[in-house]
Amino acid sequence: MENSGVSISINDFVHNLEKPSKKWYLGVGVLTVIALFGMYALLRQFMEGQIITGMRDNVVWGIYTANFVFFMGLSYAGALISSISQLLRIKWTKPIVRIAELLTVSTLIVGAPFILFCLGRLDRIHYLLLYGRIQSPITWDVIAISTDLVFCIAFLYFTHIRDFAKLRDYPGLNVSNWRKKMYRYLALGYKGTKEQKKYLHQAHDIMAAIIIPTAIIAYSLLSLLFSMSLRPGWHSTIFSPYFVVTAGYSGVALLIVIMWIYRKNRKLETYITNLHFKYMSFALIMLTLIYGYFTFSEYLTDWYNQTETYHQLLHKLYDMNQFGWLSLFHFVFAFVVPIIVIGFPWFRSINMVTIVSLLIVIALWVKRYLIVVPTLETPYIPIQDIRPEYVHYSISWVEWALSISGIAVIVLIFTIASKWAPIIPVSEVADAHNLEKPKLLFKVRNDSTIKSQEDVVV
Amino acid sequence: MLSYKESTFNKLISVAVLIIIATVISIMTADAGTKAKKERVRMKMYYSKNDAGERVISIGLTAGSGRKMHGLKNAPVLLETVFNDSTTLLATVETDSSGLVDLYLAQDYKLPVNEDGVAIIMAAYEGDDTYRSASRKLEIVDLELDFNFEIEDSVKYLKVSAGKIDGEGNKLPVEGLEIDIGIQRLYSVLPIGSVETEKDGTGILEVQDDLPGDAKGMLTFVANIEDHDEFGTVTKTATEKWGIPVSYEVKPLPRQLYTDEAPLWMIALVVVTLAGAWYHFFLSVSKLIKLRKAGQERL
Repeated sequence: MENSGVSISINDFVHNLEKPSKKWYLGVGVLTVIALFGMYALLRQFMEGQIITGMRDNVVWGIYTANFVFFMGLSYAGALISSISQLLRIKWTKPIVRIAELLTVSTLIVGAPFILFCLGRLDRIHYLLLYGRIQSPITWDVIAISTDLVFCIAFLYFTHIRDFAKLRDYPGLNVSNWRKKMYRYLALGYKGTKEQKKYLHQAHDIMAAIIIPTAIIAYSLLSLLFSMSLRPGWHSTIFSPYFVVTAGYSGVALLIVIMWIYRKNRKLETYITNLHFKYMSFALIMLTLIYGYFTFSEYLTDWYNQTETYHQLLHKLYDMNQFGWLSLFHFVFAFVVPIIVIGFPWFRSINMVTIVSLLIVIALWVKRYLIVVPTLETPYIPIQDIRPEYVHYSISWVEWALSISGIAVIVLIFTIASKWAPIIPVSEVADAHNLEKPKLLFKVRNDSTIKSQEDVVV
Repeated sequence: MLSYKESTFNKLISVAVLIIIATVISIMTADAGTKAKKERVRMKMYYSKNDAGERVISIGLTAGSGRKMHGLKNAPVLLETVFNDSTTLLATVETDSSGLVDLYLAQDYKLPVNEDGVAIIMAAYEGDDTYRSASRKLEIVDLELDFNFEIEDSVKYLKVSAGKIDGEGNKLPVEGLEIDIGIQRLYSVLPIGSVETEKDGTGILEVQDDLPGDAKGMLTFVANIEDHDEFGTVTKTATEKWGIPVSYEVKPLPRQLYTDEAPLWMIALVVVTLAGAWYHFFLSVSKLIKLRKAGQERL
């Protein structure tokens, strides 16, 4: 394995954790201003109501819901990659698992509130807990996402404990005293004894095992918000696996982009190698094909057996004066371009794969928008108010401001988190060649104890 | 003879002048076109009087041509009454986003009427650069409806009398007026028949005796005249114990997906799933507590 031969030390990362540069402060400042502008937009919405958004009586969900589904999907992919890596003791993923975990937590923190912005009376949010019906998919979602968030934050912390211990013990670490105290407190007295290693591995394994089903359930429940309704384009039995695959697809694509940024910015070519991009590209092309298969199945069944309302929806999706350009953009950059660039070796390079990944991320955001808005513009009961703003959704500045500030917050979390601890999990990469074998769910009989063929059958 | 350069310069000047002239002409033509395309406006006016005696004048303005008519919003409409060739301003109202507006007359306001009791109401929209003007005139006589409940030989008769008010306030019976009768239900009026008034202004309807009422057997009868040329829309209601008492006790709903209380299997599923997940979370945290203790013991 490429990384197993690389010697890694906390020394290589300490200079990045010590006193931040002016450029870093400037970056954090700009991101904070963007985030605060989003807060201002939210405050305006809270004070003036949803009339200042593009949402109206018919199109009651818009860009907020698209963002919610999009960010939740990104979080799911990160959780899956880091958990599977931990459980199966995959060595090559070790340098990128922290990026995946940070992607999970940051997108969860930013994505989850977006569904709340759709509420007309945000001041009554606690009613959801007081009077929420357990039969409602929204209640399932609130429970699942909050559980997922707690688990993912815990998992992120577990993977940091050994690095915190290294930083605590690092002589002459040039950081403030309160940070040193925090490292000491968060390291939980970890000294690397055999007993402590065992406990940490157990905790890690348990969390990894529970995060995988939690993330899948959470994202499947998210799809039920749509598919439990009878609306055209939403009422589909394959929506749950379709959502899960889409989530994995967008998450892997964004992970490649973030890997590229850190590799260039922090000069981590030694740790985030060509091999990582190669493997991630394979994952991406597989997901492209699976995603294409699901999308084809979804639209084929809608098109083949269409009723009047389905016909209207499909017409909207392919009419160039309505959503046709967005549909074309999605089709080209989520299917055609990835297959050409990654599928054929002539175009395949790290930079090209990264650019394609970025385009996939954008195309999959567009897809979420195409799931939400055209369907709401095509209700079964005809729209009775002919005002165009009641029929057609258009994104207001408030929605743009909150969306952009959401992205800024994710970048801010990455910026601050990678200043707190190495973006490469130093301890895990160092121990990659000493990894225990993955735990099995069943015992395999030793070959020497097998006496006859009957034993094997039994 | 002009040199080559002078010739080109003159050509350019000529072209520029032509472009300016064409632009001016096109702007003027466009302006003229706009003026010529002033949209036609249609006005509708209704008068109605409800059970509480409230009188409402409703105006609807639409603009456009052919099938492409749309409500004319924020249009000012002048409402006046006409009496003995003199007009009195009632109000200036403005249409809403659908081109509609209602004027509620105060209870104590008496419309000026002639000796026959006819009140004349005029509505006018002046128009503007885009829309033409429109006006409407309405002649209305105040009508009063009354109920009388009678039982003869166990048969229930509902008598409805209609009287119009003349200029001196006298109530005069109206003959040949068709009145729809119904019973008020939760969301709408259930029609049970109609009557035509006789010479004395009274119409009689036999009411069947198997109509379900409220818990006490009360029925609310509704008499209605819809958009009459002389009286507009007039509605009157009265309540009588002529129905069969029906108890509307709500039975507790079963535990289902669509009721308030969730099915037990669903609650069990959620509890077991969450308990399983959180059990593993706390199990994991307990390992960290052990890890910390192990570190302390070592110290």
